[in-house]
Amino acid sequence: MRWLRAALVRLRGLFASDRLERELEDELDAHLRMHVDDNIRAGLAPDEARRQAILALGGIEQTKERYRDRRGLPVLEHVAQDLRYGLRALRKSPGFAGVAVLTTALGIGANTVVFTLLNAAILRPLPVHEPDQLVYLQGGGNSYFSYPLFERLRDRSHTLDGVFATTLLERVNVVVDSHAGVASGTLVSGDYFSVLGLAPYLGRLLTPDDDRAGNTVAVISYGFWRSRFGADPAIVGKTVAVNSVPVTIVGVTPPRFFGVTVGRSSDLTLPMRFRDRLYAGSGRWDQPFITWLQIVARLRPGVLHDDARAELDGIYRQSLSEFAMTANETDRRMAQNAHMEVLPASTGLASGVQRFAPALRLLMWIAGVVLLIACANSANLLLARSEARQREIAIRLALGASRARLIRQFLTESALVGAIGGTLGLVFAVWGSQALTTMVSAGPIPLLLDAAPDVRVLAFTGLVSVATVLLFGLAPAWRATASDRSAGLYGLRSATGTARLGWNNTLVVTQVALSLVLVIAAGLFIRTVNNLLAVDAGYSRQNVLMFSTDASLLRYGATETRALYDSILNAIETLPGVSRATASFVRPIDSTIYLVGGTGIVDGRTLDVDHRIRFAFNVVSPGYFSGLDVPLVMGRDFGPQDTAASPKVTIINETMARQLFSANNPLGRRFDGGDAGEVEVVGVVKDTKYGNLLDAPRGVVYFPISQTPWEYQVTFLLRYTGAVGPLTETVRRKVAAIDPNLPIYRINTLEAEARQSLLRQRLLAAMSMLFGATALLLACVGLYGLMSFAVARRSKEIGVRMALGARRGEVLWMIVRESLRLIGAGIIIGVPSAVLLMRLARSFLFGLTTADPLTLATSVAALTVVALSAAYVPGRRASRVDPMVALRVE
Amino acid sequence: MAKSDVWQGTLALMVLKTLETMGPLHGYGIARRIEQTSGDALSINYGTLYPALLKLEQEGYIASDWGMSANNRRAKFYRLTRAGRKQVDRAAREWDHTTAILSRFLSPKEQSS
Repeated sequence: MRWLRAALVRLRGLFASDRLERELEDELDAHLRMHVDDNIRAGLAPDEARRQAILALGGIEQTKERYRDRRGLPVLEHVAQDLRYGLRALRKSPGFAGVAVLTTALGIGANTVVFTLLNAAILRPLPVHEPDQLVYLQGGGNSYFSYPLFERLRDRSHTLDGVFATTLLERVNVVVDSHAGVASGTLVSGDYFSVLGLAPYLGRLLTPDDDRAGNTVAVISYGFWRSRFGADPAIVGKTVAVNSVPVTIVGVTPPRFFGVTVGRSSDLTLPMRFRDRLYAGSGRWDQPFITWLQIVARLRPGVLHDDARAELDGIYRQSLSEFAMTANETDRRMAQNAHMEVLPASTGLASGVQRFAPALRLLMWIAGVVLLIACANSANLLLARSEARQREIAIRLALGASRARLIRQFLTESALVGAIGGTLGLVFAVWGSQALTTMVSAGPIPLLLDAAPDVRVLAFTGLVSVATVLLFGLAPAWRATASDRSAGLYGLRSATGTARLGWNNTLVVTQVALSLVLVIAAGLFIRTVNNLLAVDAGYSRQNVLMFSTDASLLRYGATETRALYDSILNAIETLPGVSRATASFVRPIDSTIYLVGGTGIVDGRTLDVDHRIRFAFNVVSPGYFSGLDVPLVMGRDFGPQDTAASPKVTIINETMARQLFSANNPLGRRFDGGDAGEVEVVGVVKDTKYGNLLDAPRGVVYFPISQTPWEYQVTFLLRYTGAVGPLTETVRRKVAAIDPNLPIYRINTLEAEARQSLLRQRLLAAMSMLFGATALLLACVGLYGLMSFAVARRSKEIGVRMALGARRGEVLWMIVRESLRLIGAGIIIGVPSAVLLMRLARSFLFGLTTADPLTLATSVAALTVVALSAAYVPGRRASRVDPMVALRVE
Repeated sequence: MAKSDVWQGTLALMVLKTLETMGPLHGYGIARRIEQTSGDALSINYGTLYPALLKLEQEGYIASDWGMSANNRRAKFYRLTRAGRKQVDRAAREWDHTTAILSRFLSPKEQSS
């Protein structure tokens, strides 16, 4: 520990240097005097005595220097010195410093933004106890299990420390102090919080005791507590109505906990048995083949993953074979082949967020390229600057500074730029990722991401910054200090000067090529979004407002529901500015509701089992087709004549007509419509996209709303003229007048919803455009810097040329031509690289190839124009060189 | 580098031993004493002594105070601390050990042929 003590004393030596310096002076002084005294006594003359004494000491200053090295910590002192010197140097050239710092900040910021999103979406572990021990189960490729199976796993397993089941409640109506509002909920088994190992923020969390029939308690999320209850400190014990059932709030979960399903925040967490209160007669508890629960478990410490899998698979297969004895044919077949998989759940359960992962990974690459361009820029700046500092470097080398010491000095300056740039980049990133998460959560299915920077993000930024500094700082430092000393000292430009410019040229060409790749990528993604938006859905998207509501949230019965939907339809149909109002079970564009059925009897003829015809179906009110501009090919629309009592009718689309009746006239023909019974075809409509815009055409069967019992969500569509804002308000008022407790949600125009449904693609297009523009800007800064530098260096030559009669235009052309050469080289490298590289991202493109001529042409043109304008400024400056002034230099 | 380390180590031991036999002494005195003891065979650069003294002081083996020299000059006097005394013994033992080993290599009579 002696060295530690010594280090501490030396550290102190850094700060008390004045006093220690005086003491050293005194001590050496005393030493010399004593030696001189002795020397005189030995018979030397005073001058000679002193000379001998100093010789014996080995020089006063030399001794002091050696002593000082031992006194403080020289490394630290040098670093401090370098830092001071570096700061001064940066302050002295604010232009260089500003551009370098901003460039670095943009590069690092871009990377941090994407990483933050990636981190939030797929990398960040759940904020629970030991998330690495958590696993989720999959049986026969299905992540959902039945309740009886969950019970068996829970009761029989010995490899698990705990297991819970969870299922999302799509939407519940929560009435707080007589204000209705939609919220998201999760149903969980009693062990949920104890397995996760969470502590409550307020009150208590749910326990197995809560998960019993008749218990009505709930835990709310921190965010919901703040937004719906104004962070009421007296929240515990408060009663709210959840779908008209009074529920007591017993606690609040911690702020960073959003549930185990990433991207879906859960406002309320309710015990599983609460389901019985929400849905009448749900006999799911003893149904072994109704799979609706996701199962998460905590492995017992020390248990191997494979052992757990083997044990759980055993329980699973044994249970299935027991269940299968009473099952039907399909379930039995499933039970024979199914196996259990145990998958890591440390980052949470899959949700829509994972769909963003490939796009985010791609963006990570793009951001990496931006950073590379930024590095090239900074390196270029440093190279140019070291050229300007030739003299200083040469003098310092001549005075005996070691090369390592000078390289350290240069790297310190780079590190300063990197540190400031990195910090600034982090600020950009926090800001940018918040904007992005807002964009992501504006989608049709709101995704909630925790984009707050955490340790990982900070570490990532730090690492990227260090890599950046090494990348752009080391090479220039190395080259700068390798110069020929005397040449620099006398201000001569030797051959090395041109060699260094060759380096600069390479860097700029690389930058141009890389930025062109990014611009082309952005162009392709933008064209993809346009192609997707231009997809013909088969219906008209303009001027349609839609909103959804769900009578089951108020526990309406079947007849009440029909009456409710009828009165809403009547109320909004007559609104001013509304030309038509209709209702549909399926929400256009949305892919969350997919109603499928099948028929086995067509025209009274029974099809054999293997030839049953499957179809998607929808239930609509009269006027749906004309309201959305879907052409009726033959027959009629539904009308008032189709009542619950009249013969059952249906309208089918063209694909369905072909599938059911081949080329025959389908009108008047009949088939078995499943729950609807036998229906008669009264009309045929053109094909439309059933849900998602990217859906393939498929057979669709429409039933009239008046003949179909329904108690769940319905979407109303209004064809309107004029402004949509006031109409929205009127609609809200009208619905509230019918039932104030009925929540209406997802009020949106069809056009906006179509755009939002392309969120992933738009995110990719917007981000790649932003990054492409940044890259282009950086490349132009690089080009501009290089050309300015070249002009400054060649001002004498230009002066001579002009003195010899060169015209301004010729000089300008000379500079521009040189730039064109660089840009041309960049394009020649960039275009094929882009076409090849983008092949890797082909799955992100729609309706075009990577060699899309329009995109390539526009990108090259844009790059050329922007780059040339960057080169024009120094060119112009060159043409303004006054030969007299230029020649008088030196 | 290695060469100067050895030198530093031996110089430190010489300083400590000198202070042990002579009691508190200033830098000049230590230097002269080492020179004399070595029978003038060792001519040290006095300047190298001071960083060595500083190092020993930082390590806590010696301590220093300002005092008056024999011919009335104000000087910095170094003395051994308790840790220093132990270190003299330990270092001397190590030195003996090392030289003993080394001499076995160097003296021909120990060689078996």
